[in-house]
Amino acid sequence: MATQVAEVTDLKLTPPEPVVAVAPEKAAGLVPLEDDQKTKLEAKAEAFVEELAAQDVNSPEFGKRVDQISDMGRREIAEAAGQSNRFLDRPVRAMDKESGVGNDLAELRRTIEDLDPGRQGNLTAPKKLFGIIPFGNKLRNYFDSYKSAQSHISTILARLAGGKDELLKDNAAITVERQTLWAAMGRLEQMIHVSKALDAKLEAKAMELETSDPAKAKAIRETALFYVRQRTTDLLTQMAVTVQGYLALDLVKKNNVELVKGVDRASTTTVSALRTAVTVAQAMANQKLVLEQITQLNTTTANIIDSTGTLLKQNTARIHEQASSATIPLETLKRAFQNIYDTMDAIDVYKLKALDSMKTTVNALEGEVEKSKGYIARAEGANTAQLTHEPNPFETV
Amino acid sequence: MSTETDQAIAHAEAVLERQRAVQTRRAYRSRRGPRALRNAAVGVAGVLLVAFVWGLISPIGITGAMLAVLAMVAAAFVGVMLSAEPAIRVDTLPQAPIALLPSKTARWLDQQRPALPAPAQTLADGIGVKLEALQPQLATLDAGSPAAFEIRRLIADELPELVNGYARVPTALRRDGLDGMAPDAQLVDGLKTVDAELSRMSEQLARGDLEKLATQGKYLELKYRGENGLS
Repeated sequence: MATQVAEVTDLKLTPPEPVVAVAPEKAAGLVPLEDDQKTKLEAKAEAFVEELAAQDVNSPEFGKRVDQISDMGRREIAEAAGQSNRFLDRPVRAMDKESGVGNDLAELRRTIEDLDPGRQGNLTAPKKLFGIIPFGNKLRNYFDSYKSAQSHISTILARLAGGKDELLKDNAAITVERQTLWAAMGRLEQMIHVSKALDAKLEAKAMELETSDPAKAKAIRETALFYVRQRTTDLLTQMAVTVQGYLALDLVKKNNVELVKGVDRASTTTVSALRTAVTVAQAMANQKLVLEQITQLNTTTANIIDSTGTLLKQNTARIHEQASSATIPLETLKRAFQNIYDTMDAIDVYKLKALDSMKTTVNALEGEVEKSKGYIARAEGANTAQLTHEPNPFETV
Repeated sequence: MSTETDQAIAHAEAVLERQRAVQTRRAYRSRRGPRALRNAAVGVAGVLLVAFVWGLISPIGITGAMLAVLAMVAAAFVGVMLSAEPAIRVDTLPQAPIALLPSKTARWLDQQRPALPAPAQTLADGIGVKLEALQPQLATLDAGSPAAFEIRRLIADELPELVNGYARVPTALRRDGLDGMAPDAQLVDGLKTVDAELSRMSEQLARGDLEKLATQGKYLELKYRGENGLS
């Protein structure tokens, strides 16, 4: 039913907006944390600061705790960064797949153009040998050309159906990826929360110790607080990249949905035109045009048979009604072909715009990932420098 | 008030933890039992069959019966003895194929068990169970993949290094150590890290399959039920 309505309205494919760069300072807070989580994380930070302040500044214990700060959120960052390759990969692969579907659509168009009744000259004019002697039937020859084209068309349509399945699979994978990415973002968000809580609490502690133990206050400011701020920047940078990737995945998904719509519509209009041709052949040339392969295709793709079936019923009745006047059935057929052209033009226009969005997104993302790599390298370096068997006190809750 | 409650909770947790440890150990140790029993049963059944066939051909008499019983006892003994595993040498671990490595390391760790302090024994049992659980996951893993490399490093190299390093420390120094380095505590910490890392690697290996399954489910939904699950 939906397709029938779509036949009347124009096919509208909206290109997705490109994803703009997300500033690190705006990256936090996109994934909401529960109050319960916040309380627990703040308690962790509180306990850590108390323990740190209880240690002697020059003791290895103090140093060990400072090391724990520079190790904070390392796993969360590494995990989120590991996925950044994948979301860079997605839009690029999507563009590849698009070209596959695009080739099939172009081939379909070429094949369809050969059958277009609008390009055959006057089909109803009698065919004459040497322009004088009436010989053969132009219309009959024209409909015969469908028979030779049908296997080719059905191959292309099957390829398009395969391409559509690929796009759907892609979208399924993106949905799952976004789900895991959301979880990773939640863990990053928790680490950012801890980091910010530590910042505030360390600052307060240093103020508190300013008069009673200035040396400790200085050590806290220069080591612990310094590392905490560095860590906050790292976490925020990674968060920004991840958020951007998350949005980019959505863009690819939307693009795929639009393409699926386009492919569906192109297949439907093509089958519809061929079935109109069957009816018109019957009505005008009293010719039984058997397009077995197309009929077979209809039974395999339930979606198509459904929409064209309803359409065809109406068309058949109308065409038989109009068979007395010679030109009207041909007009119907021409309109059916025009439908295919309109669909393909819409897809072409859409693809150009979507490709632009996609390229902009990929470029922005590549820049951000490149930037964040520096931070990740630093985090990894800090990790190899010290190999503690201590469980990290800043674990996600 | 709250400190008493806290203490009670801590105590209860410690008891629970010990209970869990005992269970893990039992689960792990009990694996040797069935094999010994099976070997002994096969031996006894073999002797019984021979005695029975012999008895059909010519009567074996009281002496024969006594001899058969003796032979059964001997067969059972030999069966149990054969179930004991040969000692695994640690330098053979890095050469083991990745699919067999976890069970080999688990058996090696089990053999080191008597030399470890009590809390480390519990941890070692837990690691043994995790290693056995990892086995099927590694069966299909490509030996050249980074994940395989990581696992091999951990269980064929780093874990034995930790345990052997501990074993090299003289017994007298193991508990208190020198200059604040307490080998017992360090071994326990190290084993805890290995344990956590094994869990993480197992999760990581499972992640791919989980995602594949979720993707296929979602794909079927998208294809046959439409974007919102409506047809």
